[in-house]
Amino acid sequence: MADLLHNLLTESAKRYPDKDALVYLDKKITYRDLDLLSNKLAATLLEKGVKRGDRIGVYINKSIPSIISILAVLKAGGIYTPLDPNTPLPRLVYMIENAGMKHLLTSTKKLDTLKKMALEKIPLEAVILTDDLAGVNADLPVRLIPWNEVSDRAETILPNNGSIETDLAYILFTSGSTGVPKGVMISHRTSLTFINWSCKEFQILPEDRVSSHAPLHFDLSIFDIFASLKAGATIFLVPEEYSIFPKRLIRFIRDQGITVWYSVPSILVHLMVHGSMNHYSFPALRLVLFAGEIFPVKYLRELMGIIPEAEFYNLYGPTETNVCTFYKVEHLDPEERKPVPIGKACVTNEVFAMDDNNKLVTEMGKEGELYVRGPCVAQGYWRDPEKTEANFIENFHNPEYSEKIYRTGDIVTLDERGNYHLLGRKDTMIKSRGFRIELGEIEAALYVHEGVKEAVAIAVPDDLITNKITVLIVPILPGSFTKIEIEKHLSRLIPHYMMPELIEFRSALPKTSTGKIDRKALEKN
Amino acid sequence: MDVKAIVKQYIVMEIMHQPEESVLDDEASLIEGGIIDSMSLFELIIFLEEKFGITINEEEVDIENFQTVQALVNFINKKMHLS
Repeated sequence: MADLLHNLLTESAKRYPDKDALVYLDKKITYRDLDLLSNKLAATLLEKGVKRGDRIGVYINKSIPSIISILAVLKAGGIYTPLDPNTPLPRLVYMIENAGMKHLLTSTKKLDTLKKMALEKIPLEAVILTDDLAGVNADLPVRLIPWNEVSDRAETILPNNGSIETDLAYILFTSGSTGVPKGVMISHRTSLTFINWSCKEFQILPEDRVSSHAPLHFDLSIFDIFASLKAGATIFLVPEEYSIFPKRLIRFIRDQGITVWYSVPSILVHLMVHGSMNHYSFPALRLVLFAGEIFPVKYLRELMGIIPEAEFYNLYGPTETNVCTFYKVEHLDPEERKPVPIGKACVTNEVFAMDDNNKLVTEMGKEGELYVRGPCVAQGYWRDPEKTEANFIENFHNPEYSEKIYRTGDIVTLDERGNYHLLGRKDTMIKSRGFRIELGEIEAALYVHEGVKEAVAIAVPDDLITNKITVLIVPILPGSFTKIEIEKHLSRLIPHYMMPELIEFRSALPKTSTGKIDRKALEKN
Repeated sequence: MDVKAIVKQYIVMEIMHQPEESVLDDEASLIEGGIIDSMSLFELIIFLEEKFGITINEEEVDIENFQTVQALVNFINKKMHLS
């Protein structure tokens, strides 16, 4: 069994060299070639000075080169750090600096963005352009390396770089409550815990045709890529624009004969609402996995009717644990309105809920905060000991040994069958369209505006996208700026999916007895 | 009716949240550039149908018609002349 993520590729390349590993529209690459090319890129990275443990940015739209990049970073002993291709510039710069990246793997499509970055201030040593075959002259204060420098290399055997399974494999940035994203650190062993579990639980086979819909900075992609590589299956990369045009995506799933689909519910709802998905059939689709947000029951029922032969699973887990509980949806009563449970722990980890008195929740109907224990738990937040200590805590449940457990901040309850149900959050993190959003990050962005005296972001429950965001602002000087100016200001700092649906001005905000903004009072109205 | 100006105005204000129209080039890719996403696409469609009195059917919601401002304007003009 592979002890390092990239060995999943090496082993499958030995067993299935001529099988297609990746497909992107009409482009394909076999396991053998994926192995060879990722070796060449890894060798190039090592030549450019990459050392074991270096964080290397992968800033590329979903494509074959983006996957080659991930594997190459791992092979070079680096920690791959995927960067959302659509993230605003300040956020991008923050992540690059916070992770201390010296090397970036990107594409010519991102050159305009790179030009806007003050690259002379960010100490990047080299930027490899994974789609540049000619050596583009971009006049940037950083060394640009064209792809032919990689592909023209002779076949390489990489030296053993001494990586071990507790080394970090990747860092995934998630929304941070204080205004800046936090980097979740995941080791090879932590990642393989999930991959081995999911491969076995869902019986992923070489014949499987697995979609890769989730972006690379989202942990759903770990299953798409690595469970497939482990099984020797073929990964069908979904072009990013297909998520926008429902008919394209529907036809993609059907025509490519996708057998395994994994995504947030929102995209599936989008296909049903705007794509007339019920006009189509998907005979090859055997497994539908969904995670990241509550699946509105009426749409889940509709989907199960559209694909009656498939198995449906609700997977739950924050980025800090990947998937820690799951639930197989067998049958939905026509009258059922309650969302499906998050289920029970995966066999590889343990979960438990603690109530407000720090007592274990064992009875049906009692509420508590969910904690996760086991090798699926991340190593913490990159260079943030304070937040790490706050959320990865001592195992008070078993104080005999110092294993860290993760507090999810999710409030759950148990049902009569021992399944957990998600009730809500302890704090101000919300989900909207499957995206994890810290309301504090939006508020921090608002406070950057010099005209804002006070601001609060609140979630308004929504049937389709789980939550919409409303922002209330108290200006220092009433009338000194408009809603449009605030939108413009925000759009420069936060990703699209965090943009509030409604902006309102207030003369004052209600306060609690301790002087903090009274969110609960605002949420009630 | 200046279709192009109306379309650009909507996109820069409601989708890009940038009050200056000059940020949007007629040939700039709305999709690759990450300007339009699945939420904003359907809000845009509702706007176009109401503003120009056209009905956009599901088959027409495809990459070609929404690729750039110019492509969108051409599409709208075609729909308006047919009705």
